[in-house]
Amino acid sequence: MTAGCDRCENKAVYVDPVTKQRFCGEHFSAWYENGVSAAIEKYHMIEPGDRIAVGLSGGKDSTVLLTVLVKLDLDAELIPITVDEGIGGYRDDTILAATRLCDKLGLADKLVSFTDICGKTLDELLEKNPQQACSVCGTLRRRALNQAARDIGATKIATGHCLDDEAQSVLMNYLRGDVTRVTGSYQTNADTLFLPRIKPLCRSTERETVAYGLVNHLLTDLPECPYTKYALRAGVRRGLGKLEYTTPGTMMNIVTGQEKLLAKLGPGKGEITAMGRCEICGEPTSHRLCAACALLEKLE
Amino acid sequence: MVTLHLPDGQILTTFAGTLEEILLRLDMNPYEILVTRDGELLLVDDPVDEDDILRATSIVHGG
Repeated sequence: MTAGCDRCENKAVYVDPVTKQRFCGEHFSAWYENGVSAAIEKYHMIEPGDRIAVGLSGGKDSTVLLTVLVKLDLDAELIPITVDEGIGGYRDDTILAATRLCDKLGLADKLVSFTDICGKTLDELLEKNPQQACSVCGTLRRRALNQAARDIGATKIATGHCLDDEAQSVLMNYLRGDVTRVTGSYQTNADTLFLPRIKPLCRSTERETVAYGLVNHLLTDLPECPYTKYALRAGVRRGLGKLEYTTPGTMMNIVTGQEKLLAKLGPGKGEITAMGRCEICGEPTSHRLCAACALLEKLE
Repeated sequence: MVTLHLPDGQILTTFAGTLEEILLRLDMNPYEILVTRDGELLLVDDPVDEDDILRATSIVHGG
């Protein structure tokens, strides 16, 4: 028989692998929510009166993100935005899950599609280049989310990126030899051109996030994105997942190590540029074309 | 035998043991898989009996 919760008599359903604390469902949920709340406070993510566009795919992370933000009862308005990339056999189910969640939480979901922003679905865009799926999808999804958030007058965009995503990104920057990103490129006027992005789950692991979803019965079985196999991130994720199992806390060390590096370098020590506007769409960019327009031009 | 339902619909069977032993035996990373029994989340050191039916959830997501 395994030991119970450290804080009550109930059976433990989650053990924090770093601190070895054992939690029942109720105490785990409270601990997880406190962690999200602490991250929001530490990084000054939300101010009173904010109108926050919440990226809601209907998948595990964004489902937990929206649920926890509602539960924290912040002094901010939440407007879920769902992007339909147009992925056959995958997206319809997750959009349905997003709609159901919004109904349950009493929020109105705004739907925006790739066909709205470029006239084609992701499947159509990738007919000849499925290997580029994740970079094409990520770039256009950012564009769609930015555009929809601006349309509704949002002051910030919240996404469900968690600690695992952050650690993977840091490692991928090193693997690509992307010194500009490793050292924190700095755009002098970026703050005035982009809607600020916040990641309230950035200090919660993917495992904790999915466990929260399961404990609170928020998750339904959904299909996996058919393009996942093409992602460079998939290999990095597997490797980091193995390290996190054998050496818990690895991902937190990677992310906090990167923060310490940037703090030591100080602002303005990375590449300094001023942003302009894309010649085609007028979106902010430090190049002639923004990433989305450059990508669409290349695909055509 | 223990029955384990995977997210993609596959069903695996294996011998009893702790959850961690079972996942490692099936070549799965215990960090990446969460498992429920009768809707309740299991710990990696929870014992799993011969007739138990388990449901696995992968923490990995697309994108």
